[in-house]
Amino acid sequence: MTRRRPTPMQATFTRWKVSISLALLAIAVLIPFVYPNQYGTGVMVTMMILITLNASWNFTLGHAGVWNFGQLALYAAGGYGCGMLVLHASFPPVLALIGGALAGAVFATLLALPTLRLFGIYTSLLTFAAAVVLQLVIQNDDTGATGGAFGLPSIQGFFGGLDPLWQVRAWYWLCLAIAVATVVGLAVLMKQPFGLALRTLRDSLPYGSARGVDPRRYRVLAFALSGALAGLAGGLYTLYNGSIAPNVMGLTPLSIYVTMIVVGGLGTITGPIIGTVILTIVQQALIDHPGTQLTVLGLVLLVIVVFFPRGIAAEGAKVTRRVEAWMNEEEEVGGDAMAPVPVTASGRA
Amino acid sequence: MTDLISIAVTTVVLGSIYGLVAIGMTMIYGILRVLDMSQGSMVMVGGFVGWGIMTSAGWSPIVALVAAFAACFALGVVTQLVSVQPLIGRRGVDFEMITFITTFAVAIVFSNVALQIWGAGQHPVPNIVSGSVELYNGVNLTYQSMLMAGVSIAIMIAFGVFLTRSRYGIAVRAIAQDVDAARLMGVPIKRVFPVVMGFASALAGIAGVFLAGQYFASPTAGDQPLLIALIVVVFGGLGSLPGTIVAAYAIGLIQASASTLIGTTWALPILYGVILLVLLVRPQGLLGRPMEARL
Amino acid sequence: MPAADASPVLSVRGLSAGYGESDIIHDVSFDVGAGETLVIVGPNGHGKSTVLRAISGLISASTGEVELDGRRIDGERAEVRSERGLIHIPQGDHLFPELTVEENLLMGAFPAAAWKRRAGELDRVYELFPKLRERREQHARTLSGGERRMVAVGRGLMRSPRLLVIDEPSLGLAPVIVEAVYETIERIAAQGTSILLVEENFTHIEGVADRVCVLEMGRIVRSGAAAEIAADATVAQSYLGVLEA
Repeated sequence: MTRRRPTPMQATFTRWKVSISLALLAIAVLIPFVYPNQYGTGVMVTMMILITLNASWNFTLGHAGVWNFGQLALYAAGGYGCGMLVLHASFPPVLALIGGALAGAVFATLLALPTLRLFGIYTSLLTFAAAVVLQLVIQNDDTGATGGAFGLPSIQGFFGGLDPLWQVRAWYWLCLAIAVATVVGLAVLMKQPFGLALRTLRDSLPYGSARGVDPRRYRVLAFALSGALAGLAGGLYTLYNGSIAPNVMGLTPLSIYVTMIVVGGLGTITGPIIGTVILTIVQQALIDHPGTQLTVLGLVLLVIVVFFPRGIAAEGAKVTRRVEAWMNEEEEVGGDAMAPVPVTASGRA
Repeated sequence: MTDLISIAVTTVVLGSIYGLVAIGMTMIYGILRVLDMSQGSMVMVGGFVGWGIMTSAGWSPIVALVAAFAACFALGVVTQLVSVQPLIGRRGVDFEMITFITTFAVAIVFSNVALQIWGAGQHPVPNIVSGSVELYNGVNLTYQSMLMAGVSIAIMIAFGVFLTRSRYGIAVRAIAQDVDAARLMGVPIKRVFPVVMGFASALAGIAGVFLAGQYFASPTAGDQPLLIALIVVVFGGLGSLPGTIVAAYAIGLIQASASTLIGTTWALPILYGVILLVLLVRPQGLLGRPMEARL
Repeated sequence: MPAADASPVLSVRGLSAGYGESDIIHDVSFDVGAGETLVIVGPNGHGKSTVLRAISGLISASTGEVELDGRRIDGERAEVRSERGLIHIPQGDHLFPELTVEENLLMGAFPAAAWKRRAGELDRVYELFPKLRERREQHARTLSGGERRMVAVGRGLMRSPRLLVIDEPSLGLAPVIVEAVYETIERIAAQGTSILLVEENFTHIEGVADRVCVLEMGRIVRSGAAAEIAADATVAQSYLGVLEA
């Protein structure tokens, strides 16, 4: 048999994937009406902010393959940057949000530069140490700029004029839009030459360098972009909660977010969404047993990683590929009008 | 002068304890290529074993040390079998990163189970020996510190002798250098791997008993030792035993000077600052060998 | 020379093996008698190393039998064969670079039984290779190519092997060093150790070989006493080029 052109069936299948995504998106948009509960919508706002954060983190940790464990410093830089602009400089929230994203990008660039000479575990320690230093500096800060251990209170965010339920809904849609834009944008970027270059460098540094891809430039650019998105997520966090404190960083949030990314699938497009949604559900299911929350989380992480080291998204992709192959096979056996295969007297009536 | 002597004393005590935790980590990394994030939990468990045996049961400290060694050895073996062994040789995964994450998951489970059992409170553990001697003009050296440093140094020396003289000691170093050749020599690596992790965990458990006497037993008691052990291990050059021991005392010195001269709150930020600088100047750590150019 | 009057140390019957789907060696059979040195000669890429790897268990054979001292070993793992006394010294030596010479040698005596006799064996190896005694505290990575080969051979001797299997001892060494290595192999053979080794040609082996097999395209095409094979005109043309010049 000669190699087949993309068949109508395959085109249908891709269309089918797109329609599923659109259907899921529609559900996501409409869910506040089906589930008209202020608390639940609030949980989903946080979830959307975390999807943005985790997608940005997955970009350096998964797609670029840099052991970056300092992402929460960028998140905090965005959150604090945004909060300080509102409180100390009376910026309007929109501008403060952009300022937060810029702060994240600047911090990310500063973080990327020293990692250029490091590899693997050394990178993780350096980035993690940077985050710890930032947290300790903020905690010990007594100038009033960051509010020290207590953080920055009473920051005015968006949608102040709406009644509480519509306010949280509006927040939900805003954060949903940003999360979707982030994930889709990164997915598109990974198909561009920039994304291909990043992946090449991750899989084989020598090969990538030999092909003329400058690792330094790409790593710094990837960090800056990732930092801008993390900073944006941090700004959203501050504006939504009306406050920010040093406990947005630290080992506990770090372990939760790493779990989300890894369970979803490091270096996959849909992984951050899947992981964040699943673990948010797990956490909410255990909300009455706060003591067991983290234990279960640790067990989930351990089991998923040992059985599916590449995460749920990668396993899902395997299943999808199998379905696709099965559908194509089906088509071959049945034959379509274009195929020059004589239709034999098969069992098909 | 007072400051200098008290810094020197603190350096020796801290450095010895850090060395005890960090040689385990560096050994696990050298042999298994795993940065074992569950080592902090072993310090924590050691602390609780010490509390249970000395405070609750009122038994002798010797029993506590032996029990901590045994308990953490068993936990280390289990951790290896659950979170590392199944991933060896798995295709398409970055082994170092994935085991970093699985051992981290084990650490999350351990500290939260401890939280469930014993609560978040701090449990006092008595010192193994009481009393102190005045060294100079108000600088006291407690017998507990002396014992801690002494036992840690003795263990490190014994460990060094084991690695250079004994059959399994040499084999363990051989595995770290060439797994395939070690197999050709008949070394049963499948059995050695869990034992190595058990042994390293046992050392961390002993350190845990000592540290709990100095501070408290609590579910988060392992967090800071883990961070510091990580720093020591990376600072010394991953997998290099002499480097690790030098680094342990260097870190002890930095921490002792910072807290004596500037203040305890700033000890950690300064420590991290120094690490950042060292890694910028020597990306492969103090005594680590530079990676050959990758091309 | 001790011939096949006593039962052979190693007996190979109908051995076929390779990598993946296809076999590289086909239906290879030979014996190595007690105290005998058998050399397999053949061009590169015709399967010499594959024969050795199949015998020591680094790859599994697709058909055939391998017996060591009259006992079937073809189902065993490489570690077990090595404990039975079949010592394979692979190409490239595989020393432990950060261990000292002496520690590398001691690793050769890792099995419990050999470990007990390690002091005596060390002396024996140092007698064979006086140079290694001088360098006993040196790290293996600092040695020259010839010294590394000596450590590799010495490490094999540390567990008093029943059969020493050596893959191209001359590979990558300067001619003078090769001569030294072969002198040692001769001395090891003289002490009664059975040896199976492979080489590309006859250049170095004449002093050590009792019998020779010629391996071409994965099959043994000639075998016999060393002198007889060397005298053979067709073999001479293919493998004795150096001597004719």
